Amino acid sequence: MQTNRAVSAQPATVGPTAVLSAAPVNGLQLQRLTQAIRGLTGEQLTWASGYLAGLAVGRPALAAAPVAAAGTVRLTILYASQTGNARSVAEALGRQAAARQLAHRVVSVADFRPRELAKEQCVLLVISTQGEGEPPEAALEFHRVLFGQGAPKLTDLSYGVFGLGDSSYALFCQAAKVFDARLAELGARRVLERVDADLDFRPVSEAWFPAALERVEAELAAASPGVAAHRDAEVVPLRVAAPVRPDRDHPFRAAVLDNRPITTRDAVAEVRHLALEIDPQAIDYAPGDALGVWFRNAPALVGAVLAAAGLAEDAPVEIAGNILALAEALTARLELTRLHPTVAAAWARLSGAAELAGLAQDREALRVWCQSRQVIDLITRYPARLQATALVGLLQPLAPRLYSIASAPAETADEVHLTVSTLRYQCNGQDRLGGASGFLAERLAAGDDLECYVLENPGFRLPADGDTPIILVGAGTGIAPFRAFLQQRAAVGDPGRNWLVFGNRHFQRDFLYQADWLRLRKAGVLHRFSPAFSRDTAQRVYVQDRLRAEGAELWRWLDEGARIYCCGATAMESAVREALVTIARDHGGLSADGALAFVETLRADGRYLRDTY
Amino acid sequence: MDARVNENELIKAGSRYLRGTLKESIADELTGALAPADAQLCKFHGFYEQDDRDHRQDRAERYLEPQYDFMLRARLPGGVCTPAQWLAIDGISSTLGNGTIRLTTRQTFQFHGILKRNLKPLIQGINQAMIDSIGGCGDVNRNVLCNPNPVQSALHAQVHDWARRISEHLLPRTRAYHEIWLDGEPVEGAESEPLYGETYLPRKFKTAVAVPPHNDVDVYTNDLGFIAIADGDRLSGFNCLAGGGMGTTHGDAGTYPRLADTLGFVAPDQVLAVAEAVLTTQRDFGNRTSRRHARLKYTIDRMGLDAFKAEVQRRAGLRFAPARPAVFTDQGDRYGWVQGTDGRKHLTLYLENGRVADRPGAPSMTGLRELARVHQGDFRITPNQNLIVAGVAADRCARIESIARAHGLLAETRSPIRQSAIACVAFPTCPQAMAEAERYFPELLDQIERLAADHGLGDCPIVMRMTGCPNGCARPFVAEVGLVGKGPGRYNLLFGGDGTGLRLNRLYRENLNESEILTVLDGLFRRFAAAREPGERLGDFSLRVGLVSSVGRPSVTNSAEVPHDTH
Repeated sequence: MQTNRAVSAQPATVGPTAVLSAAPVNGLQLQRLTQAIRGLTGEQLTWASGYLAGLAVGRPALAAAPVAAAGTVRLTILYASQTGNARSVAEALGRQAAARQLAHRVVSVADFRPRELAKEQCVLLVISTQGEGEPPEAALEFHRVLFGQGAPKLTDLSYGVFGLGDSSYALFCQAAKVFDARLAELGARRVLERVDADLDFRPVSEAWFPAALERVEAELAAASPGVAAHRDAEVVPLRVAAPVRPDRDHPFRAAVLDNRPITTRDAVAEVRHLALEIDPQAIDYAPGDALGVWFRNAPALVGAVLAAAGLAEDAPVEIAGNILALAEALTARLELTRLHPTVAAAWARLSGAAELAGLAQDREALRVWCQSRQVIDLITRYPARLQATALVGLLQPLAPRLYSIASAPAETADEVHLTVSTLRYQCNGQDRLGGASGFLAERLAAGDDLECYVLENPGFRLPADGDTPIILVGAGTGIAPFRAFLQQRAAVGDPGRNWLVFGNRHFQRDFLYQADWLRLRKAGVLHRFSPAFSRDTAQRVYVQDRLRAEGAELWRWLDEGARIYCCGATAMESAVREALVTIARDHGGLSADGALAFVETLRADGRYLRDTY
Repeated sequence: MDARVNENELIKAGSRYLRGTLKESIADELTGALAPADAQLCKFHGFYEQDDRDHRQDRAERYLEPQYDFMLRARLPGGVCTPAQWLAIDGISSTLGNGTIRLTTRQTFQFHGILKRNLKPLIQGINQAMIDSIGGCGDVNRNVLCNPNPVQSALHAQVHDWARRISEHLLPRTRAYHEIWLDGEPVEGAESEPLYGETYLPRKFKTAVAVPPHNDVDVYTNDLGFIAIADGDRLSGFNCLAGGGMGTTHGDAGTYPRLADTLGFVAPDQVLAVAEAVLTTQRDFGNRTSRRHARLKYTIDRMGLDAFKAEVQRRAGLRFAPARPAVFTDQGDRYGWVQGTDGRKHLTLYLENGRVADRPGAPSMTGLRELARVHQGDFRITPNQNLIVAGVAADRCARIESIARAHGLLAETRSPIRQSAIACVAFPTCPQAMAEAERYFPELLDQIERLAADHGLGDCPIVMRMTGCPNGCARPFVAEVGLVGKGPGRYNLLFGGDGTGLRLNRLYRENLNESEILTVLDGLFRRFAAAREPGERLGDFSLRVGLVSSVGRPSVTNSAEVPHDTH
């Protein structure tokens, strides 16, 4: 399963349909303005509004227009997001703040200068935790500065932290904990106890918002007299009449144009290519972005769960205030194909199965056990009797899956392409299919609709300078964003050199998009290609091996300012990073420590960019 | 002449003696193919670029290029190899090919399904076994055929030695092969190709040596032919032939199969001069604008035989003596055991369409491997795609035979029709194929055998050959019944070969499907069974009753009158 993808940062939620209330501009002017500010982040918008206000000096006729002053924003909602969940919490919090007319801004840590923290009055940090307790990629710089030698003193700051994580990992919400503690160490005042939310974070965040905002308001009121000064109505004139921008909870219905396998029948794993029709007015994206995809669980699987649990398909159950049939809930609302350890642990109590209960004692063992199992395996192996409502209460809510977009808007503005590996495995001698990938592979045909939304990935973008050489390292479906990159570079005519390093199993069977690469090379867009087909040779060769083998050339490219992009599984990325360190040592003449520092600098400078899953 | 030379001539001329950009093509990891010009040049190095045509469309829909692979044909003069070499060939096929070996009508073997990255190791592998593939394909002299005649042991040794010397003499001299595949040192300074020049020949060039009375090499179908004339076990010399060839193009009346003309008799030590003179005459007079019309047979028809012969005599510095009498009795293989004049025994094995593979019920690959492990003589690949286990000591015959029988390698249970049938490779790998051949002929033969049996002809020898296209690799135009692929499931049907390879057959009907072919054969077999004269062959019968009109028969002894078929 490809739960790839990073997301963070918030471009301005200003769409072409934005309307200014009582705006003293005509339609064309408004259109030009919205074009000009498209893609700006909240912070940039704030700056721009001040800039525009400055321009207005000496033009009395316009000086009457209310403008925002950065200094009047007293609450900053900072988020550090990897898969978009932290961002969605931050945005929901922002909406509630707006509803309370509380002056605020929502901004990604990636777009926030860490030293500016010292100037902030009140910050609510929403931060997720990755696999082994790491903060999201977007928070790298933030982390480096706050934990570095010259970390700023934050004695004027009050703050609260909302953490997101997965309790099946040992270091649950570790990033939130670390930042929460560090901010206090730097002198900031914790005005809210940290919240650590698990996978089903929505009820937790919804409950937290009013309390948190009340506390913030009280803080701000105490800090400066005249609460009204903080009211939003006077502060941010660029009020956008909520453009209908599809998101996780308001997905876009895209028509499926194409859905075909792009590996051969004898390939070890099937990979499919999907083309979705989108309305570029409603959905816009950039190369590097991901697409969130909703799916329905397989009818056969739902039937099997019902049968194994001895429950009726039409048993009424309640989910988020709606009454629906159990079968529908299991199909469209609840997670069946990813087994979360908390579900397994609850099931252990319910079934009284000693074996399972024993397993549940060891969190790490339980997590590993769950990775290769689904809900149906739990129910059939450890039978238990329970009510429909109990089952629904036990299961996790269905979550969309994220896939890197494999197309570029410059090439196909009204299409989004995905590269999806169909997850198939065996458990107890039974064939198991990934939830979303199985849905896409087996139950979605051309002409059907798919619910989806774009998740921006600002940390994984083509260089703004089209002359910059780029080295693209991808394994398996990690090739997807690079197809988008090269399509984009071909379409806009960027002259920079492009080097593709691709790893998979067999040249003949799973050389994803081979025809595209051949075409791109012929068009002069692909300048160098280094494959690693691991099963074609007696000695398995992976992308990191190819990088090492071509280290001298790679070093030359770096010398000429190349950026390196890496997309694929986290283990592969670690191996690539190690290879880069080796190359810096062997070809750059650096010491072991120097080489390590060099690669760290590449990361910090945005010259080594990663998108892993 | 205002016509421009064809594309291949430009490729050859610009190739720096067959180097082209082969090294770069091999190093290109984005594609399994070679650059287009290299895909032409590689033939001179012994291999063809092919793709699995069964999967072409399907792969295009998966955004994958065609499944390119390569067929490599070794140079193996007279088809002789040692058991040790066979074991090497067998191992290489398993590790670097597709696990099968194809014996060909040119008395050599082919590896199929070689991936680009395996070409170099494969060529290095056969080189270690003292085999190369220089000129296996391409516009040069190809593998030289030689009747494997195991009976006249002493004579075969002399004749085979000349076949080998002709092959060596007509080899290209470029070091490109050694440089590219065997990591030889690059040649310093200017290189030259004294025999061929930098554009080599206008087209392929085939040479065969026959030892009467057997015409298993179909000597008249070669550009250059030699018929060994012996006095007992002593080789006296050769009748020289020139201008045979099978290849035609559907719909191009300017192309035709042709039997070779007889030039005359020469002594053994004049053979190399004749070979060189014929080859260089073709080099200088052959058509370089149209590859379809570039074979020697068209050159001779354009020049006139007398002028051609005079040119050859001038270049060779000799005069041909009148050809000596020679009689041919057959064009197929003689299966089973024969004893040579030296007392050693020889076993001719049956390999359906020359395919050596391990298939259910037919483990020929394992069988030949087992034989190679115990055999102490040599192996001889026949021009009918079979294999002779040659030079077996009397006390080892039983062992050899039991291994052959256990692996289904004996012809004994097959009908005479099947024993003499041959088919070319065709689908899925041959880029020329228009219809099936190797994969389909055996099942068609099942039905033809039933028809023959129904008409009481089950024991009647009939030479039937099938090719997937009109280029004629299985020499279908000298068969009694020829089937030449026209399109999927469609064949041209030809009748009238004489069973000894001395007469071309003639087109009977075009574009027949299976049931139409069987209906025609059913009717022909019925008439043949009813009206056949004693000992009459089907090919002769089809002429006698006017099924096809009379076709030419070359004289084996008279060089002045050489009729040939020109459609």
